[in-house]
Amino acid sequence: MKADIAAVPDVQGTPEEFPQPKRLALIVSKGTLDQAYPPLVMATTAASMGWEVAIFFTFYGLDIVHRDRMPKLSVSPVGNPAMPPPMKRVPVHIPTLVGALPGMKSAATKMMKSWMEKANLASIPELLEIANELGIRMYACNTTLNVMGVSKEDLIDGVEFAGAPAFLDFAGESDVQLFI
Amino acid sequence: MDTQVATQVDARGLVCPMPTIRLGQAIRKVEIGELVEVWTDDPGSKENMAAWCKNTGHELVANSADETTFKYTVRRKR
Repeated sequence: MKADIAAVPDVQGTPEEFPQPKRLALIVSKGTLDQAYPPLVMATTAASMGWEVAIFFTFYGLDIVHRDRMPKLSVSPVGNPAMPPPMKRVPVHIPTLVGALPGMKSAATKMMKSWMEKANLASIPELLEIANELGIRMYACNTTLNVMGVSKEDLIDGVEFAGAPAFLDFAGESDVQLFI
Repeated sequence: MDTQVATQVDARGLVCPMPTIRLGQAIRKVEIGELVEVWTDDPGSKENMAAWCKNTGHELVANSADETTFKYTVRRKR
């Protein structure tokens, strides 16, 4: 196949030297479906750009790397004023009290998953697999494992264990640090 | 310098970050100096591809677009 080799100046970007890959350090403390995406998208993107990435999962964030809880990550309509109405034609938001009724959380989760599928968004398991493939270092905070009642065997393969000093050591040498 | 595209990545229908991740996977499989062409319908892809190339050191040698598809040609530099 013949490629069009005409250079396009406004999208050119090729630095000459790469002394050190950039580093991204993430703390992930939330365990809802909507909060699982941003760190995994950032991490896999950074790794695909040649960055070194480490993610520290702590508190509810541990659920994202939990074998049994990860497939069940959900989104709650309670205390979530941004939750869009379930039907586009009826622009009524779910009142918090109604959102607290049994079944509402699973309905909201189902709804969000269907939007994600429509938007062709990669699933959480897919992003975790890519993260592993790209050599992203994933650490479970060993202090919060006990707090959250999670044992090391509960976590997916490839997750290591470390604490705050190890995170700070990595973050201190990082170009971007985010708490999510 | 090669002017033939060695690998084509059809990332149409995929959203960020998948087009650049697929590009990263493809570029590792071609030789240095060879070209990878990415097809995508992601409207943010122009900025994303430029940023990806700037960070990875690979060269964005061409881009084009029709009504539905953006095409980017990237040369593996290292």
